[in-house]
Amino acid sequence: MIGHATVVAICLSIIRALVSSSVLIFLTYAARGEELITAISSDTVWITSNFTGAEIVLFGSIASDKSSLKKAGNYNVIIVLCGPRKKIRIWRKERVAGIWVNGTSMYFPEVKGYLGIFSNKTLQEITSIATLKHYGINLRQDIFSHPSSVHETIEAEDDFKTDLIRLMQKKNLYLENPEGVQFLSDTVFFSRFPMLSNAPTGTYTAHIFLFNSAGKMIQKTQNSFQIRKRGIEELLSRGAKQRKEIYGLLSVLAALGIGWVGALIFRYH
Amino acid sequence: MQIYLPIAEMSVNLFLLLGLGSTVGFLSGMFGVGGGFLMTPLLIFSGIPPTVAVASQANQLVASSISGVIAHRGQRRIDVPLSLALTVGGILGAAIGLWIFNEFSKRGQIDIIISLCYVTFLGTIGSLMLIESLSEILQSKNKEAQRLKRKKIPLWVQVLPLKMHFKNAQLRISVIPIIGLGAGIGVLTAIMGVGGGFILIPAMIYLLHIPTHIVIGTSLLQILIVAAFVTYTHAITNQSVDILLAFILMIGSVSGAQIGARVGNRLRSEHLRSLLAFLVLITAARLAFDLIATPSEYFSLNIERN
Repeated sequence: MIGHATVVAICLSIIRALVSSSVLIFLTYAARGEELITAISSDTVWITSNFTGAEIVLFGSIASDKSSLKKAGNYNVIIVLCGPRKKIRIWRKERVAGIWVNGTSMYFPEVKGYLGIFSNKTLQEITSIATLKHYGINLRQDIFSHPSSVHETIEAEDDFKTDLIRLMQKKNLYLENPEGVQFLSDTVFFSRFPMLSNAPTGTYTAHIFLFNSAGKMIQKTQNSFQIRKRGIEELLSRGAKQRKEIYGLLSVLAALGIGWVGALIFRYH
Repeated sequence: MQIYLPIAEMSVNLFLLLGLGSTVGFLSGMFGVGGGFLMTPLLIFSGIPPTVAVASQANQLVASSISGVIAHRGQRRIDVPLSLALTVGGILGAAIGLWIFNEFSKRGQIDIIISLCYVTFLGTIGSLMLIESLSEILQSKNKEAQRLKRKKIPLWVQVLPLKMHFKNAQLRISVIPIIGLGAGIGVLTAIMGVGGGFILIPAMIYLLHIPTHIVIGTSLLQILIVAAFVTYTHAITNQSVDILLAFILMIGSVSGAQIGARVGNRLRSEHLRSLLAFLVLITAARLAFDLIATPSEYFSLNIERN
């Protein structure tokens, strides 16, 4: 469940968002019909030594005049949560001289490192496939921003893409949850994003789409948050990349120190 | 309790790692070997990326070998010039090993190379040890006869040039086979993250006829220097040394080794060796099975760390 502190924090940020946007809503009320206001439980997830994953909560409120609420009936919400892009190579095992080795591979230089699609119903119940495609709401689309290195036929590439998505789903990095958005009332909803410890660090953007009961996209907005390392984890992983020589020397020296101390303790026994 | 490893970028159970470290430490204390040849496969089995496992294991090796060097220090038990001659070869070999490691790493085959190396070496050494220790258990009377057989240095070693006198080892021998031996072990340290004591020690005793009491300390000093070189080089070329992982392994293995050493003193050496041989063979069999058996998953992903 969501902790008490989280709820308070979300409520505060929603109130803040409501107050600051109420003027805007007032001005654009007649013209737009619906306004979508969202807030996120924290804008940074810190990875520390005991990090096993975190849950990000997004709250949303649909502000609308009564006539458009009646017209629209129930609202539906789809949230597409995109993580930072990564370089991924996928290998297919092949048998060489009785041994399974990594055979053919395909390299994708810019693949979404995380993609979550959360909604309050199955996507097909909310809108048409064409509309989903238009807004890039599916696991296949928009994952691969660039065509991969073309040394294979299109069919083979498609095969690899399908398996890449399957493997990413297995790692819980790509997921689809048709119960991932819950409505608290006709106009207030929330969603929880499970971020496991293998989620890549970087910027995550949640694209929130509001659909009416006819399947028409009527409003969209977005919220971002970061997953970052902090403390010793940040220090070590940054040090390992940016100060390679010092990191290497330190790891050797630390080992020498620990071994030395170990030997001293051993002698006392 | 889960702990997040910053370089491996995954969270693992702290007690699992400590248990792994102390079990391997216990075994290494009991059998008087480094234990790296068990640790690296176990880390790989528990899901740590092989490159991180090898590099961090090399780092752990620095700690365990300096403990050993300190325990064996004193002129009588370490022949420093002999150790340095081995180290010259060791560094050369490690440089070659690192190059091989990185080349195969680029081609995505390093996991298979690591497994193949383990299967080959663990399989060979394990079988040899098992045969030798079993035959010793069965006919302990023939021990004297076997000792006599070992007395002569092979002729091809005797005729090599560049002879040097090693005072503590009471040996006059060419440096060529020593450097060659060191180089062979260095390759293994870079690729497998092992000290290579399980090859170095028998080779020094049986091939070069170095007195047994000098062998362990001398090989430990060589392993220490080569492991430090390998750790440093892996750190700057692959950024795959996970200090936190290595640190946990060190804590576990240092404490485990003390208990192991005491238990080891109570058992007969040929029984110990046959036990170790079984352990080595089981590990090799498991790795071989993974290489040969039809995989349940044909595809694998390599997500580049940034």
